[in-house]
Parts: sequence; structure tokens; C-alpha cells
Amino acid sequence: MKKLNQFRILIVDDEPDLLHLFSLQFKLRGADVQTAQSGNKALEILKTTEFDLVISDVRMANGDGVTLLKGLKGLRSTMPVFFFMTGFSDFTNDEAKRMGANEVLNKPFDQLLLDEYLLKYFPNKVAA
Amino acid sequence: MAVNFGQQFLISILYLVTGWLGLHLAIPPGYATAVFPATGVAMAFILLFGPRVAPAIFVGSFAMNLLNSWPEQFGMASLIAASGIALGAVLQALAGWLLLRKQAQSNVWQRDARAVVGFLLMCGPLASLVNASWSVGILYSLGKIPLDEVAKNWLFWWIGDAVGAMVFTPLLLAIFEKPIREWTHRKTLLVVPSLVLFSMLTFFYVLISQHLNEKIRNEFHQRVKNNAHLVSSYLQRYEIALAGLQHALENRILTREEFASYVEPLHVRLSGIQSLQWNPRVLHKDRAKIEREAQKLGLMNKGFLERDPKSESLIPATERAEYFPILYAEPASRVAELIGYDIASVPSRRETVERAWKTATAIVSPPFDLIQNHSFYGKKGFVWTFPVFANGSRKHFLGIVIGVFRIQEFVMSSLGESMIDEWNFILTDTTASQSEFLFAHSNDPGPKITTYEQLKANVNPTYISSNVIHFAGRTWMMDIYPSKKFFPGHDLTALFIFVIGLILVVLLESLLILTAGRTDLIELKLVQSERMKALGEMAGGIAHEVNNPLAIISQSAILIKTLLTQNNFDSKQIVSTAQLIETTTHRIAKIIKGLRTIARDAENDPMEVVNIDQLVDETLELCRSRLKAHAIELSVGNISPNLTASGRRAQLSQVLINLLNNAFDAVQGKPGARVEVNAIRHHDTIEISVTDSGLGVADAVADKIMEPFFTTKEVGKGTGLGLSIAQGIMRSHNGTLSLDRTSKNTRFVMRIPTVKENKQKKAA
Repeated sequence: MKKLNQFRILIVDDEPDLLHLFSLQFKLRGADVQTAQSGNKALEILKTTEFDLVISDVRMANGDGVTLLKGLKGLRSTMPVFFFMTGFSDFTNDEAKRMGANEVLNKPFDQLLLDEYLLKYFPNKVAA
Repeated sequence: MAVNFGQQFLISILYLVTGWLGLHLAIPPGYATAVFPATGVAMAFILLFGPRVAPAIFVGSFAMNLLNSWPEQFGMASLIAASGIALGAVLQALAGWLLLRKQAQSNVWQRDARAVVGFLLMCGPLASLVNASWSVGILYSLGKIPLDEVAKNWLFWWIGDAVGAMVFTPLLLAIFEKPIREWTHRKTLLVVPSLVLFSMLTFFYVLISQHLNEKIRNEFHQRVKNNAHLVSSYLQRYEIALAGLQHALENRILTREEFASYVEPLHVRLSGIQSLQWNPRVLHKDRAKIEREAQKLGLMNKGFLERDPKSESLIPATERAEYFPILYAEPASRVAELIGYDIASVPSRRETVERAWKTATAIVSPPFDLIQNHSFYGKKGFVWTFPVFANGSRKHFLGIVIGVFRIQEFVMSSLGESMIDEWNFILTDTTASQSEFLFAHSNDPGPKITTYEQLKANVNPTYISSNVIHFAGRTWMMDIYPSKKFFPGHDLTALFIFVIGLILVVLLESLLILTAGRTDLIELKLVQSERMKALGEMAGGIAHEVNNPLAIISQSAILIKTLLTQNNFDSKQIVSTAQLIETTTHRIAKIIKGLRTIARDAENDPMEVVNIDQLVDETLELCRSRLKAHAIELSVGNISPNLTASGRRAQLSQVLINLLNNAFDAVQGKPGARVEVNAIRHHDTIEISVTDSGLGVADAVADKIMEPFFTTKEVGKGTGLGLSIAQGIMRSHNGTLSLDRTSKNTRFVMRIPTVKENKQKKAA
């Protein structure tokens, strides 16, 4: 597992267990992790805090992934957003990308693919 | 499906009874059975139970055919025929089974018009080719049907079987088929009108054919009445001819040439004359003289003769007081060797001569067997003896004129050609107390009828016309009955109208199969589509719901791997992560279980004890994510884990999902959207309630809300069947589904008796 240096990440998911696992994993890799259980909560945090990357679930009560993307546009953020999709969602991977998601990962996702994307977007911050 | 002995027996009996009834719908003379319901019986049961009912069909058909030939026509041939026909019935049913088993099993034929028509055509006209060909072939080879009637018999056999199968196969299938949902209501709708129409049609057919039979019968009796005198007339012509001969001989002794020239035209004019003879009375004292003169004239060459009682050969007559030798006989060729034969040598004939002499009247002998019998002329004849007195005075007895007649030939000649074709009859001499059979005439195949008793047993007695013929002291009885040729073609009109009516019954049946219970069918399809819709709506949520725990499991595995690669890992953290995997798999299992519950048609599930807490929990698992995704708050009351009811888990779950979906549709997108599920026990009833944040239902809507097809949803969003189906399910659980009108919010309540009460109900 590749180490991440000086990396701030916001993880958004309504599933507490998953949120806990992600934050542990990224912490173990050396990242600075914050979590939010809904899109609205994430937007609140994003208003005051800067991150390198947001990884978000799509389907959530109280502000879903799409709300989050719209909110980010309002904040004029250029920060990459990765989406977790769970299949059978309201839209396809391509639609998600058109709405502003940089990459889409289908749950349960491939760890290597996540690493690949991290390397693609943050070549400097991923330890070789 | 196994068929036990009792069932086989019942099928046999049903075949026997329906077949027997079918045979009795036949119009005389008996080949035309317009409908043979037994074919439908065989077809329906072989489709229901498979070829293992073949023995029942065989026994039923065999018994019916034997019964039909009992007792007059019973014999080896009828045993063979009955076995052959029974085998044909089995082969036909098997053919139908091979053609239709797939359709019958899949019930496809009950649903689409082409399949229904195809089914009827295959079980009727197509399969019926088998037995029509087979059995008519057998009856022909047994000689029971003549060649020229094969085509007609085949046609009627085929029509009767085809119509019988088309009318009765669907009805019996409807009655006996393992009930599937859409048939429960259709059974009555199909069977009752079809049977009513069939019975009415049969009733009118029987009425009309009885009327026609009556007409035909009257016509027959009228014709007999008009023509029965023909035989007597013919006898009179004989009498006149013989009386003429008698008269001529009374005036003077004729020469042989004169006798021949008198008799010759009679042979031309009248049929059935075996011989006409002149036997003069010869006293013993004149014998030698007469013998000599006769030999001189070349009339006889051996003198007077008689039969030697031992050798039966002709020998010179022994001496007696008087002789009655045959002097002239015409046609000469037929009796040439008998010239000179003294009939007085035979006591009975001597006695006849005496009687004719003493009474001075013509005497007719009892029938006797002709020596020169002929297949056409028959073997029975009679002798008519006329006494001849000199100058007509009874004082001087000259001899006798004898006519020997062939009975069959003259009777047949007396009747016209059309009568010979249209009549069958038996002729009996009934003068003596012991009546004597003369001959029988029949145009029809089958065993020959020779007594009145046989006739009565084989022919409808109302069709028998008994005619008495009196002549010269004898009484003959002529029992006339119509031959098959008598029945004119027009009596088939009623039959064909009947057949057309039966085809209309078949059409009505097809129509009923296709239309009756259509609502049920549509409902069934809608129930399925409702379920599919609910399933489809949930699919997204379920994917989310399953993929999330899968993500948890995969991330846990990754975490465990990561932790293990570290030198000083925290074993507690690994244990807790593994624990997370374990509980997450349970979560997935629960979802799968809920999914299995909703995805199947549970109508025929057995009742089981259902834990209400578990039921609500599993069902909610399917809806939870959908509600969550639309920001609808879901709250579940504190349900006691001890609540149990007797029911079909999947159906109860279906009702609950229906209520939850309705709640979802009602509050989705509205501020403060909330759905609450609770279950409590109220006396002996469990109440499961679904309350949403909507503000109740308007009274006008509330009145109709449980009715089928009532919906307030947009077009395409709801079928209006959800609640009515749900209500049906609750009723089948001895429970109810109702809208709680007292609640401020929209609240639906499912009520179901607790397990205990259900058991008591069963005991009562």
C-alpha cells in the first residue's frame, strides 16, 4: 500500500462502518482524514476547510452526492471528487462524470484502481 | 400423478355412461351418433393423468360396446369387435396425449386464442381420425359393416368423436384440473353455460328427431298398409289360375297338349310356380287300362309309381283301391321322372285329397321343404289342391289339380322393387299352434332375424308392422320392418343442424375460455407486475444495500491485510474488523431473505407461525435504503419479539411492502416526510400499522380506496390494485386491512389473529 504525504482527504458516506474503515485505511497511509455522514455536512466542512480530494457516496439521505457536486461548483472548487457508486443508481458512470465527478468507483471497489487514480491525480503526493 | 384402482374404475364408469348416452342420441337406424362424449372423457383424463389411465379407457369402451351388443348380438365376433374398438379408443386418447400434453401441462391453451383453437382442433378432428379409421376398419373386416357403408360410418364416427372431444375435453379439464388461480372463477362461468347450451341443444334435437321419427314411422306404416294386400292379391291370381284349370277339367278331359297350352302362359304371368299337375282318380280295376293307354300316348313309360320306403327309389305302385297318379305336369322338364307317381301312396297327401274331395274345396298344405330348392327361390313351398268333379257336380269325383308354389319367389314377385329395398320382413305360417318360419328378407347387414322375438329385441317395436294373410284356410304372418334404405336422406337434416349447434357450443366454450375470468387473469398479471414493479423500485436500493456491506467487507479485508503487514499491529483491531465482516455478512443474508420473500408467488404456501418482529425487520430491510435515499425518515416502534401470528410470511410481507410503497409515494419530496411502522397486540389480534406524515385521506377517496382499480396516483404510476389485492390477502388470513380514519395522519392497519385464536378456530 502506497503512502500518502501531506494529503488531506474528506470521505463522505452514510454508512458509519464504511466511513470508519476508510478513515482508518487512509490514516494508516499517512493521510489527514476527515469524514462526513451526508452531502450537506460535507459541504459545511468544505466551506471552512481545504482538501486535496473528496471521496463521496452517491446515495445518501440529507444531501446526496449530486447535491455535493452542485455545492462544490458553487464554491468554485477545482478539487477532484471521486464517486462511489453502488450500481443500479439513478445515473450511469458517464452521467456522474458529466455532473462533475472526476472518477467513479463502483462499490465494492478495486483497491488497485483507487491507487491508480491517486497516482494519476496526485503523482507528487503518492510515495513510490 | 398416480391413479389408484378406484379412480381407474370411476373413469371407466364415466366413459361407459357417457358413451352409452351418446349411443342413444343416435337416430335410427343407428349409425349416426352426432356426439360421443366418452371421447372427451378419455381425452381429458389422459391429459390430466397421462397414459396410465389407458386401462380405464379400455375397460370403459369394452364394457360399453359389449353392453350395446348384449344379448342378441353377443358372441365371439362382438367380443372381438368390442376389444378392437376399445383398443382404438385407447390409441386415439394416446394420440391426443402426444399432441397436446405440453399444452395441457403449461395451460397455455387457456390463455391465447390461437392456442385454444389449436387445442380444440387437435383433441377433436385430428385425434378422432385415429379411432374412426381403426374401428370402422375392424367392423368392416368383421363383416359388421358392408363396403358401401364404410365411408358413411367413418364420417359419422369421426364427427361424433370429434364433437364429443371438443365439447367435453375442456369442460372436464376445467372441472378436474388442479385449480390454478385463474380457473377458480372460470370453472362455473365455463362449465355451466356450456352444459346448459349443450343440454338444451340435445333436448331440442331429441324432440325434433322424435318428431321426425314419428313422421317417418307413420309414413312407413302407411306404406305397409297400402301395400300389404299385394301378397294376398298374388295368391288370388294363383287361385284364379288353378280354378280355371279345375273348371276346364270339369268340362272335359284335356289332352296333354291342351293342358300344356293352358298352363304355359301361367308360368309366364306368375312367378313362383314350381309345377302344375293333373292327377286323375283311377280305380284299381281301371289301372291296367289307363297305364297301357298312357304308355301308348307316351305320357308315362313305367306305369303308376311310388317310393320304396327303404331305398327311396321309385317302384311300381302297390295295389290299392284307387290311385291319383301324376298324369300331366308342367313344366314337364322339372317333374318328368315323376310322371305316374301316385300321390295317394303318401298318407298325408292321400288325406289332403280326401279332404278336398269330401269338402269340395281347395286345400292348401302346410309349408314343406321343396326337393329342388334353390338359393334364390328358397326352400319353402306349399301345395294347393283343387278337387275336380265331372260337370261340376260333387257326385262324380274325377281327380285333382295341384299347384306347387315356391313361397319366397312368389312373395318377392308380389312386392314392388321399392318395397323389396325398403322393407325387411319375416314370413311365418301361423295356422297351426306351432308357427313355422317360411323365410326372412333383409337388406341390412348383421345377423339374420328369423323369429318375432328376435325382431322385437333388435328393432324398435313401434317400427314393426304385423300383417295377417288369410287364404284357403291358412294364416300367414308377415312382420315388416323398415330397412336402412327406407330411412330417407332428409332425416339427416336434423342431425346436421345438431352438429352445427354442437360446433356453436364449442365456439361458445372457446369464447368462455378466452373471456371468462379475464379480470382474474388480468388481475393475476397485474399482481405479478405490481410485484415486479415493487421489485424494480427496490432493485436500486437493494443494490446499494448489498454493495455497501460488500464494500465494508472488502475494506475490512484490506484493512486487516494492511494491519498485518505492520510490525506491531494491534490484534484487537484485527479482531474487531473480522467481527465487522461477520456481522456484515448477516446483514446481506437478511436482505437476500427479504428479497426471496417478495419475489415469489406465495399464494399456495402453507400457513406457518410468523414472528411479527422478524417480518417487519426483514421487510423494512428492503425498503430502508429507498426511503433513506429520498430523505424520508423511517421510524419503527418497539415491537415485542414475542408477537406471532399464523400466516404466509411472503404474503404478509407483500402487504406491508405495499403499504410502505404507498406511504413512500404519498410523502416523497414533501417537507418532513416520515413513515412509521409499528406492531402491537390488541386482545387476540395483532395490529401492524403503517403511518405516514400525510394528512389522512379524504372521505370520498377513503370509501373507495380498497376497491380494485381505484387509484389517485398518476397514470402509469399505479394500477389501483395494490390495496384490493392486499385486502384479499388479509382476508385469506382471517384478518382485515383498513384505513384508520380516526388518525390525524394517514394510517393503515393490518389486523391478523394471533396464533392462539387461529388454532381455536380450527378446533371449532
